[in-house]
Amino acid sequence: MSSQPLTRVVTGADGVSREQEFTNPPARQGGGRRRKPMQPIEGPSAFGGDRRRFMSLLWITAVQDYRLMYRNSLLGYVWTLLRPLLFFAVLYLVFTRVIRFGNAVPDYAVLLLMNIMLFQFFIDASSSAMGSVVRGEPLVRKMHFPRIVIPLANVITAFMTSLMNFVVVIGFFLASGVEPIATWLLLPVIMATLFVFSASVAILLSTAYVWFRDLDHIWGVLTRVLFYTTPILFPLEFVPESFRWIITLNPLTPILYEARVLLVQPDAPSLTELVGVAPVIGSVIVGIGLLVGALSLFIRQAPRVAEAL
Amino acid sequence: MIHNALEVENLSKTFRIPTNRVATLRERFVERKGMEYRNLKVLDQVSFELREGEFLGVTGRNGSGKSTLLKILAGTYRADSGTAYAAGRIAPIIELGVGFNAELPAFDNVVMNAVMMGLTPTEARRRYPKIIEFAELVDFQHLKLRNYSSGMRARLGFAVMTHVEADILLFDEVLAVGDARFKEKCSETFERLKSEGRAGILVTHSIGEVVRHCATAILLEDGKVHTRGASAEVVAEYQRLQSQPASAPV
Repeated sequence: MSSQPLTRVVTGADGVSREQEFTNPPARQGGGRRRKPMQPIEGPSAFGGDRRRFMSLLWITAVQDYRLMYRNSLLGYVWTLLRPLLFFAVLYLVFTRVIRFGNAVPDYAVLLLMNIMLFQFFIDASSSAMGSVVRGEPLVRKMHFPRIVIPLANVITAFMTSLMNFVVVIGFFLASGVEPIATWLLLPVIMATLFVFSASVAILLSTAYVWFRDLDHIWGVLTRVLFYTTPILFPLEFVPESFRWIITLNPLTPILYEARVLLVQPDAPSLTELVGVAPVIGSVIVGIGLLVGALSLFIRQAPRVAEAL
Repeated sequence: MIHNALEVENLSKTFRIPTNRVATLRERFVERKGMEYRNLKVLDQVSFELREGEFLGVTGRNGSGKSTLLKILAGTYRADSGTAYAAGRIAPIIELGVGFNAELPAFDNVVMNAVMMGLTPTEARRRYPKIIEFAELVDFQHLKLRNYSSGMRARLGFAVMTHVEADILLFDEVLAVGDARFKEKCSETFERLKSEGRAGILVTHSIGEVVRHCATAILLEDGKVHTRGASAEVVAEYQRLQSQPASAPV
C-alpha cells in the first residue's frame, strides 16, 4: 500500500510564499533526524507499542499515584497502615474477649493480622482500579498508550502499600514469637499469586465499570461477602466439611492458607488433606479463568473504550 | 526527494450513538433495558497526503469530522475502514495539558507526558529544563499545576509536545487559547518544526493561520473532503460555505 507511487498534493497557481516552500525544501537532516519508514497508524489497544515504553509508563504512573496518595496528609503512609491495624485490633478483641472463639485457634492474633493485610491488598487493588478507566477519560480519549496501564498502575500502587504493610506484619510475627523459618523465603511467591489474582479482578472490574456504573455498589457488597466467606476470621478447619470445597473455590482461600503454612504453621495439614484435591484444582481453574477472561475482555474492549466513555 | 510523512486513504468512521443509554446493571438486568443506537457517519472516504517539512491545514464547520480525523491519526479512535500510514512518531496536541495531574508540579507532569509520547524517562528528565524554559514557567515550576492559569497550563502542554522529537504533530485549535505572545511563539515553533523536516496538521477555523503556515489544506464537510488544494483556495471555499446555511441537520 505504502509502496505505491504517490501523487503530489495539488497546489494552486497563486501565492508566492507557497512557491517558496516548494522550491526551498527544508533542511531534511536538521537536528540529526533520520527518515523513518511508513507504518500503519496503530489504533488504541490494551498492550501495543514497545515493551520498554509500556514498563516505563506503568512504573511512572504507579509511583505518581503512590506519592499522590500520601501527599497532603501529615502522617502520610501511617494512615494506610492504621486502617487495617485498627480493624485488626477490633476484630481481635471481639473474637478473643467477647466471643472468645479465637482462643481456641493457635496463633490467632498473628494469623488474623496476616489475613487482614493480604485481603486488604485485594480490596484496595480491585476497588481503586475499578473506576480507573472512567476517571482517566481525558487521557483515554486523547492520548495513544497501552490502555491496560491504567488499571494495572492502580494495582501496583496498592501493592506498594501492601509490601510496606507486610514489613509491619513480619515485625509483629517476630514480636509475637513466631519462629523465622526457611519457607519465609517463599513469601514472594504468595505475593505474586495474590498480585495476579487481584490484577485479574481489577482489570475485569475496570472494563465492566465503563458499561455498568452501579458496579461499585455491587462490588462493595460482594467484598463484604468475600470477607466473611474467606477464611480470614476463622481457620478453614472450623468450616463444616461439606462447605469447605465451595470456600476453597475462591482463589483467596488457598492463597491465605498457603501463607499460613509457609509463614506461621509449617506443621499444619496441607490444603489437599483438608479439602481434597478437586477443590484445589477447581480454585486454580477459577483463578486462571478469571485472568484469561479479564485479559481477553479488556483486549477486546480497548479499541472501542474511548468512544464508550 | 521529498517524502511523504502521512498517507491517508479512504478513511471512514461511523459512530454508534446510543439513543437510549443503559449505564447500570440495574437497568440492564432488572429493568431489562437494551441499548438502542443510531449510526452517524463522521468520516466518509477521507484521503490526503502530507509531506515532510509541511503543514496541512484542516478546516470545516463544526461537526464536519475534523476532531475525529485527528483522533484516528492520534491513535485514540479506530477507523472502520481505510488506511493511514505515518513515517515516524505522532504527537497529538489535541487538548493542551491533557493527562496533566493537577496535584503534581510541572516536572512530574512533563516527564509523564514525554514518556507517554515515547521518550525514555531519562530522555524526558534531561529535556525538562529546555521545556520549562520554553514554556516560560521557570519561576513557577515548583507550583502544583492546580495553581496554574489555563494559559500557563496550555504553554506547558505545548512545550512538552513540541519537544518530544515527534515526526508528525497534530494541532487542534491550539492557538485559540493563548495570548498574542503565545500565538507568536506557536507560529515561530511551527516554522522551526517545518525547517527540521517535521510535518504537521493544523485544525483551525482561523483563515489567517491556514494561509500563514500551510501550503495546502483540506476542507471537510459532512465527513467528506469537500476541497483539497492550495490553502488560499480552500480557505476561500470555506468562507463561501460558511455563508450558506447548514446543508442538513445532523
